[in-house]
Amino acid sequence: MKKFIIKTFVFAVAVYILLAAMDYLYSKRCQVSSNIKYQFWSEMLAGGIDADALVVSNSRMRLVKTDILDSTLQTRSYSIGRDGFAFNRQIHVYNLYLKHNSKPKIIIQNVDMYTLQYEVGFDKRQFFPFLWDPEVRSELREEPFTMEERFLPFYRYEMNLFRSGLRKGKKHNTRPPKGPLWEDWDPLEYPRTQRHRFNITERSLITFIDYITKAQEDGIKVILVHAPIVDYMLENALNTDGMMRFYEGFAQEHGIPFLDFSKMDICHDTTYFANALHLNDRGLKVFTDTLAESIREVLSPQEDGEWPCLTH
Amino acid sequence: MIFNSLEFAIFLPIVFVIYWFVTNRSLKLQNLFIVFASYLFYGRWDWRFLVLIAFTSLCSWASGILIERNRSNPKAVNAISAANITLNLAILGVFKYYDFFISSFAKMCPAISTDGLLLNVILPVGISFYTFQALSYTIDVKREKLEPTHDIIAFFAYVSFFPQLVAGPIERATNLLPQFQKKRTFDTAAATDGMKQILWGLFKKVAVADTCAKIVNEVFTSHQEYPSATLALAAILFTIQIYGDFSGYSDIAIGTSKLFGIKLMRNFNVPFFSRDIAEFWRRWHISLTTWFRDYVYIPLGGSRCSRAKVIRNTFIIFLLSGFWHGANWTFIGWGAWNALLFLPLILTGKNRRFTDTVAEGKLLPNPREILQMGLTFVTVVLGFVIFRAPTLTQAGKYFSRMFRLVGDAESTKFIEFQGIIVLSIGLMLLVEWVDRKKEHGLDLSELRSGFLRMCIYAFLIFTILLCADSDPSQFIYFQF
Repeated sequence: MKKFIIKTFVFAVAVYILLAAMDYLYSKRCQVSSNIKYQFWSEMLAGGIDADALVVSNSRMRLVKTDILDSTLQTRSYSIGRDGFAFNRQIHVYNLYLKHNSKPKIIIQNVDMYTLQYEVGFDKRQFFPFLWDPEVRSELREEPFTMEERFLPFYRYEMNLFRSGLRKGKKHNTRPPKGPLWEDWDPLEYPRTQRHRFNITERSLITFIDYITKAQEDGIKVILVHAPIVDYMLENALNTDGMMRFYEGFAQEHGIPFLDFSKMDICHDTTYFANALHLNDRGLKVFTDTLAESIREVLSPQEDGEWPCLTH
Repeated sequence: MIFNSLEFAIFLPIVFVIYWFVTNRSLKLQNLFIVFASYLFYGRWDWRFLVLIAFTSLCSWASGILIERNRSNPKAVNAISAANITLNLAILGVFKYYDFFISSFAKMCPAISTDGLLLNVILPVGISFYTFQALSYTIDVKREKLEPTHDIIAFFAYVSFFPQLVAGPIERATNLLPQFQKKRTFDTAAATDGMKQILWGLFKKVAVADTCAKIVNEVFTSHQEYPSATLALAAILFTIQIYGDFSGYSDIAIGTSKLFGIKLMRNFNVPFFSRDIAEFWRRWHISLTTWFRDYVYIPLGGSRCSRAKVIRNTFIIFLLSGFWHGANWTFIGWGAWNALLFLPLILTGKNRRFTDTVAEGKLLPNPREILQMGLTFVTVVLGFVIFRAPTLTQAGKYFSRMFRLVGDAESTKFIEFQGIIVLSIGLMLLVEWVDRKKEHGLDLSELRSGFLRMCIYAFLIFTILLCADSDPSQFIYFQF
């Protein structure tokens, strides 16, 4: 029996090592593949972005026009916004960014009704090729990756996407981050009848406060921004006023500016939007122009030392 | 706990080590540990239903003892065995068929309301399997084919042995129970072969069945939107899926048992290489078909009686086989379809034409054999459409759309067919064809090169890992 156990054990270990090595090589290949999401992480983890102005966001400000910010603010800006990420996930992106890049001077932090929810589900597949990286593993240790995904070679990759990981991608275009643009108006998404509610999860709020405090201690200027949203979304939301009061109060309490674009003119015109939550390219251009001007304005504090809270 | 999970991959080595190194000094202790491990295995699904298994085991064991004590009184023997059979079937009936009968009756008599009559209980996993296993014991003891056991622990181990508890093979007491009554010794060759069989079973389940399932589930759910060719393809894929799923489970169960020095009966014997439906049924779900043959068909007279009775017996056995799968008219319809296919063979005395293996001693089958296998496969596929459909009406609509030759113009959905499905099915069929005379597909004893064998095993493990879903899917037969 000993012989059987030893042979089985040796075979299992040998196969595990072989498959783990293949998984490592495949993961490395995925990182330079044509997959947009992998490209973003590869670029960020490679370092050297060293932006002065960093946009931290979910999908709503992910595609903000960083070239407009650059020219207006005379700075280097970069967006680390990710689709579907509430703040409990945005913090991972920010922490990993800081591990590989120098600290920004300004953080343009998107806030909205989804920011302070604690979200459990997310597209974890975008991290799969990076789970070999100890820093990524450590940062994501509390995320819902299963034991199998963490430790079994190839288990996390989907068979139907396997070949796409082998397809080499075009050379990275570092800024702005690539990704699908919302262009076609999708009226069915978030229909008028759907009523949203602004929720705060204590866990997310604590993380958010720690993040703001730490950034301020590091001398980073933080600006809270509520990006434009189609008017009926906020009208239908159950507690819009409460949300705005919360962010205004939060900004006052922490001595940071809050730029609210939820009442901008373009919010009443769906031709600036791809859907109720996301601006299209035209809308992004108008919004980023206004945002850049507003940031330039608030970067000079008022005489009393208080940061203004602007509504557009 | 399911076989294709990390939980089982941890559970199995722990049970193996304790079984052979800690409890091996005493047969009773080893059997007690088997019962404990089996109850733990089952309890991971739902602890409450362990009471049901224990009750079934206890009643069947006690009935065996009572039959032995009253052997001189045939009436008492009949009464005891009838009571135990009735009790077991009543439990099965309540959990599996009660709601079906009530709602079917209510449909026939619209004046009757089902309010308050339906139990809406969940179906205990594997109830049909362990109930039939317990029944076989009582019947065999009554027929004096088997001495009743006084060893209650061995009996509990027989009913609940975890590798085959939830989806078979449905073992006979005459085969399995004696194995729990004598000391087991570790057989390296059998254990090694068991490991290979587990690997092959996992491949069939994960790489074949689960990859087919994605297309099958989608097409069967909204078949009215797909072209005919896709419906035909999904029907074929479901037939392959159910084979990969169930024979994969059986291979894992048999292979796991070998690790514990227990030999289970074969449940599938390359059924897709059958040349007629009779041969198919000798090769498909063997433990169930032989159970019905021995305990229902032959007692009814089998084929050695009048023509009318042969027809009756054939229908009874196939309808019962169908109904065993679940409380739905589709399973009865599937049974009837198979009975209709089988009947001409048995009435013309051609049901045992093919008792050998196809193209024995040859590399490839001849054109006639290819045609026979192809036709048999098509009839099996048609039957499985009825089996898979949620209702007979839906099955009818599926057939209607499939045979109307609906083209792409009338369809709104199309499937994305992946190469991996062709590869995994092709590999499975190729390996099973080459090894069709062997006990399982991965018996590579004729392959001299150890390195090559290792490479094949590593490749299969790689494919399994790549095809595995982050949420391991249940085996289809768990629901039966």
